[in-house]
Amino acid sequence: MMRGWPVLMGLVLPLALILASALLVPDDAPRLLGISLANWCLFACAPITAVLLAVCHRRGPPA
Amino acid sequence: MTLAVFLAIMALSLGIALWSRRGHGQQGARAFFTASGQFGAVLFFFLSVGETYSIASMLGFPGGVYAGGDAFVLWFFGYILLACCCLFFLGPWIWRAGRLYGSATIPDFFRDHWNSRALELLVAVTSIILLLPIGTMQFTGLRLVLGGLAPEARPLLLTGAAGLLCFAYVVIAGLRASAFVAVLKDVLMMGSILLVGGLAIADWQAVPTVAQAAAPAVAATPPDMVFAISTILLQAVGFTMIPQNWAFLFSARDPQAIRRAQVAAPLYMLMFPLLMATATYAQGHGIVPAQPDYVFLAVAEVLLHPAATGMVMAAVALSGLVILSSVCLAIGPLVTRNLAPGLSSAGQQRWSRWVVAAFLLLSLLSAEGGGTLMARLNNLFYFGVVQTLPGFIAALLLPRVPVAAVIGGIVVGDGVVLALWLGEVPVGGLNLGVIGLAANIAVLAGVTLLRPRVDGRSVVAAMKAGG
Repeated sequence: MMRGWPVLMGLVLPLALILASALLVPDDAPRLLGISLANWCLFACAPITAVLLAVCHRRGPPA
Repeated sequence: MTLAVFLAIMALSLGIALWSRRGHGQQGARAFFTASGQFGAVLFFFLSVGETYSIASMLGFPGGVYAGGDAFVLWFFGYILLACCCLFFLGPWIWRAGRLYGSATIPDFFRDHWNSRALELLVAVTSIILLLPIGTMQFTGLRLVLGGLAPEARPLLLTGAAGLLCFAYVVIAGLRASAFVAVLKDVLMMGSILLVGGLAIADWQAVPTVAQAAAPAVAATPPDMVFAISTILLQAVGFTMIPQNWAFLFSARDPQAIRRAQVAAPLYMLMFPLLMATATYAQGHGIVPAQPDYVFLAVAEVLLHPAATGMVMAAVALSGLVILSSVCLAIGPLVTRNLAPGLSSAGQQRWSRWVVAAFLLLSLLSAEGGGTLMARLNNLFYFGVVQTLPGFIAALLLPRVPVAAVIGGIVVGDGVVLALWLGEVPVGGLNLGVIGLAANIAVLAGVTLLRPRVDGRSVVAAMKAGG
């Protein structure tokens, strides 16, 4: 596997997810609890990032 | 009832600070300021999130949503989330670099790696200037909470009492006290946000929506993407260079503890949708706080029993006090180790108490005076704090970078940011810190090409060679 995969998975992918939540979700999408769909997608990045970092921690080289 | 619960929790926090020093009565300066190598993953996690989520997160985030809409949420949430990733990768290296030289502060590391007193002074002075406004910001938030708790009392007395409590944490056990109080703060903070946010969501349909002219509606303004992306990147990497964050990184028992804590750290951010829902609940249900930043507490007052409101207010106050105590523990050694070197370990701790007292007094008086200057300086925090990053990366990997390149980079980076900021130069929405950082890196690279260091050794090479 590629040597730099932990950086891609634990740093670049979370950044891409954050940007995707802002760029790909339409502005006129419905709101839930007063919060836009784009922001719900943004908030969903947090648990996904935790999982990605956990994979880097378990499968990547030691700290 | 609210006041009684609040005071009981404050007394409990003082008891926890006293308890935290058991078995550690006589600590050296490094252990006092950084609890060097004493914390496992769990305690490190609490200290880490305790340092991240200040009174601004609990009051400022919902206040910003209530007052100005959700355009700032992207960069605010994005940079904190990405900072977890940056700390996951860089944190272990900061820990190792500190262990290599026995550092307690950022200037300690730069001085010892490049054997330069001038670089130590430059990093110490800029760090102190950048940290000063944080005290004012925390006292401003504390003034808001304590004013709501006892409106008839003089604000100066209330914030003075809070300052004394913070001073007590610092004097009792240094960073150990901050870490143990952070556990209480984080438990109460999460409990409060779950309680208030959960009740607001449960009550969403039960109470008919009230049209209130005074309550601003959520603005659906799209974020400025250039500003948002540049701010996320700059502040996420800058987060790793915050002086008090180095202190908590040095407190970890080993690099694995840092990584484990950062894996869990993003989960803590699930509080943000609840905070945002609380702000939109206030807008939809006619709750109009005296100031936007009071909106979370205003909703708590409406939805909770007075005793539970006291707990929420204590959580908010502790979120300010924990950060304040950490900043005190960062500023103390910056003065007593780096500005005035040569003090003994006991002397550093003794003189740090005076420095901390002076810092708290200055911050308190600045907050009482409106804190205009400090609020302006606070805007510069991340612009300035990130300027040590190129030097740190160079120390890790590039043995040919001379000290003149690092000093030149920091001076030019800070100068460019200051000139652009004071001149209000339009930069197309780009975060000014990114421009300063680019100038810093250009100077660092240019000077290195012209006058490379010949006898240098990188931290990574030193680690491989066994120190």
